[in-house]
Amino acid sequence: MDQAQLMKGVLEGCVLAVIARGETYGYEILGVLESAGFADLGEGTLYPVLTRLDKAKLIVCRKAKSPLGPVRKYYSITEEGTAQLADFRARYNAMTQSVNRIITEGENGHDEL
Amino acid sequence: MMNYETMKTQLTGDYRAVFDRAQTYLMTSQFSAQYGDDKMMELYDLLLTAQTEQKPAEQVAGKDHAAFVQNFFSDYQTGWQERLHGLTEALKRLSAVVLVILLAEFFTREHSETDFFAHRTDVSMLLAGLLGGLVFIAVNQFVLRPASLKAKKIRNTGWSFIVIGVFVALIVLELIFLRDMKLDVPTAPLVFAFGAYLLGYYIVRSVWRLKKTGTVRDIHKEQTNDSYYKELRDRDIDRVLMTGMLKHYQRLARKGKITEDAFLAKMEREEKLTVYINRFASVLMAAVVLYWIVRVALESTVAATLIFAVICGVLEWLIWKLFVGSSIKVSESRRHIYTECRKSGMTLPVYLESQIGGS
Repeated sequence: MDQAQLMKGVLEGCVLAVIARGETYGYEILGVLESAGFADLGEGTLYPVLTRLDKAKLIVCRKAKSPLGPVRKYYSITEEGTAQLADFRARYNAMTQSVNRIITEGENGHDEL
Repeated sequence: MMNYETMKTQLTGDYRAVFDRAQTYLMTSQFSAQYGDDKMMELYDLLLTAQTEQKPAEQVAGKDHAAFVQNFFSDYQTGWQERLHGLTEALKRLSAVVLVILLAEFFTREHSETDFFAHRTDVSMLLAGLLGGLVFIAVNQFVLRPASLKAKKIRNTGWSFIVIGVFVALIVLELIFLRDMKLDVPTAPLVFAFGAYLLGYYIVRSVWRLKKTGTVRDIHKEQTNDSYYKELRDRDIDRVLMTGMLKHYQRLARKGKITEDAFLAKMEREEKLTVYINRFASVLMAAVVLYWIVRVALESTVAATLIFAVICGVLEWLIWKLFVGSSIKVSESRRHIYTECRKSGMTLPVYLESQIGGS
């Protein structure tokens, strides 16, 4: 499994985490995710995620003029979104701990051989 | 629907290529107008921001533009609300068209003594149109859209011609194969059914808007009609007009029919004539409609005359808006160009060149 596939699995949670920092918009979210190491987001995968989160009422969308002039969609997190993010963090931490344990044990076992 | 052509003029190179690809995809899709506008507006903001910040288009739209566009619009399939909205919108348009046809057919009937409740209408062509529409949707979905995505070169005008060509071909086929078909049904129940649907649609839409946005006004339309988009549209109209004027001058100058100094005065003279023609067209259209209403009034009841007057009024207004109204708007833009040219102190060809070069 390549890194891009692994990261896509947690994309929704990460997008939620970026929006939880404060009201933001698509281009800005894309920049934050890319600088954090999410590759291939330029393929348009972010936008369906935003729509899914909006439909699930985890985020709300407000339309307002951007400094450049066009109407822009600004996203902010809802109470349900905050709860979902907390749940994601807990599940993600539990999962990484389990994965770390297996990988570390594997490495140790491998070292011993 | 928004004017994507105007928005496109603000984008260059790869940013524009992505927008073009999305526009073609939208053209060959059956998305609701609001969904399409919403997505194109979002894409426009994304690309314009990237272009302004000099971020490569590849970073926001990837290398494979077709894949990007498919992903970008992929949320539509999951939204049952959009599909329901699209269906109700399509039914609204269908109801309006059917109502106009039924009423027009009733008012222009051969035996004017036939009662509205006893009148029957041949709906075979309406059904054929519906069937043709479904075939058109299928061809678009399964043939044109995949083909437009695979196409290496994007030319929206070319795709528009293909889509329109398929549509016209289907209409011609319908007329050939279904010319002998006849299906008479009572007019009144159909008029009431479609009328009730339209009334219901507007009531539900108003309540829904009030609940969602606190007003029955179309917020979406207002947002896409704000000063920024209006200025874009005006700039685009000016650019198209100025390019046309300059070409016109170059043609005349090549033939030695005009001098640089005399071009502005000639154009202003022609504009005065256009203003008179527009006024004359408006008065003529009103007079023709009035004549028809008076004729119907002399032969029919008050209720029938009123219905006829409303239908004629709406059709007249639509036709006026499409032809005379747009001509008046363009004429205003041209006069604005001449005024600005006079203020600049330049000759019109020099002024046009300076403006087109700078846009």
